[in-house]
Amino acid sequence: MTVTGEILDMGCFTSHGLRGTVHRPCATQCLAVGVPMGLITADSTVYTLTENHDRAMAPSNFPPPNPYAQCRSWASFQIEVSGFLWERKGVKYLEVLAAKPAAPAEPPGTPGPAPAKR
Amino acid sequence: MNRFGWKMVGRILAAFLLLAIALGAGPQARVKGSQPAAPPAKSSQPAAPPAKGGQPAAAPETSNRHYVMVRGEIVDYYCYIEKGYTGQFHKACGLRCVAGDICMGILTTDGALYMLSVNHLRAMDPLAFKTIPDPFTTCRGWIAETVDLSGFAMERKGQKIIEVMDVKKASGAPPSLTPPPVAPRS
Repeated sequence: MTVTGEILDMGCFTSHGLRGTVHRPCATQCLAVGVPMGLITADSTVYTLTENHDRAMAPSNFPPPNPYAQCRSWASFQIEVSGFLWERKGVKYLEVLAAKPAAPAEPPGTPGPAPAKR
Repeated sequence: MNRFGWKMVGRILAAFLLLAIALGAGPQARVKGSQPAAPPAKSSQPAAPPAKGGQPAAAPETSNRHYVMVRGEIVDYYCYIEKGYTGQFHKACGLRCVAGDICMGILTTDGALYMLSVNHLRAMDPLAFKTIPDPFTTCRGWIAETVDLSGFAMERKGQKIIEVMDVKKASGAPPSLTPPPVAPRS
């Protein structure tokens, strides 16, 4: 499935509902050190994002870029994510297979998502 | 003109004077006690546009973060959600999964599932905690183990998360925030 939405730092979103551009610096730092990542769509559906299972088991078999790692550097941006959806105990879990910036969410002049470091 | 006439002229002049003062103040006249509107703050940055999706940008909401102590098995979140895998038979896969950046969770003895997260203060300033063992990292090596875990739990839109503050291998009675009952004196 493919969904478009804002990349969330799940820690701050779940505890305080924080999201959006004003929270981007905090979310970027949180995601960089391993806080779980999510995505919220226009209809307020929240998905928890996860690394592709095969890539997690054998990272060296997959060439860069890693779309899941790219998402970690795109906190608070609108991103289109494609992958497999799993669900259990009310959790929607999206295994990221591809990701790219969605339509420009920022006013002209604002830098877009930076290329992923990993 | 008699005294009554001069009084009337004085009253009319006073009324005109008050009317002129009121008109002079014009639209700036305010009710006593009200505050004038603050001028727009000067800023080099434009106001943050609302995030797409109809939601305002970072609207703060009430925190639901609260301290909990739970007992349960640390699971590789992916394999548990996809296939329901838990236990020792899946330990080798689970360890490789979490080493490969897949989330961890804890499946409590009462069947609740929480995703595990690093403490927010530690996440924001890892260097300040450099000398303090990280219980979240400890959990990465304890996949498929039953542990007593404490930390801050929060929940929103079906997502349950615990920020790990402490973890140890399970032993003795299950952890509880309430003190154990006092045995009656014999």
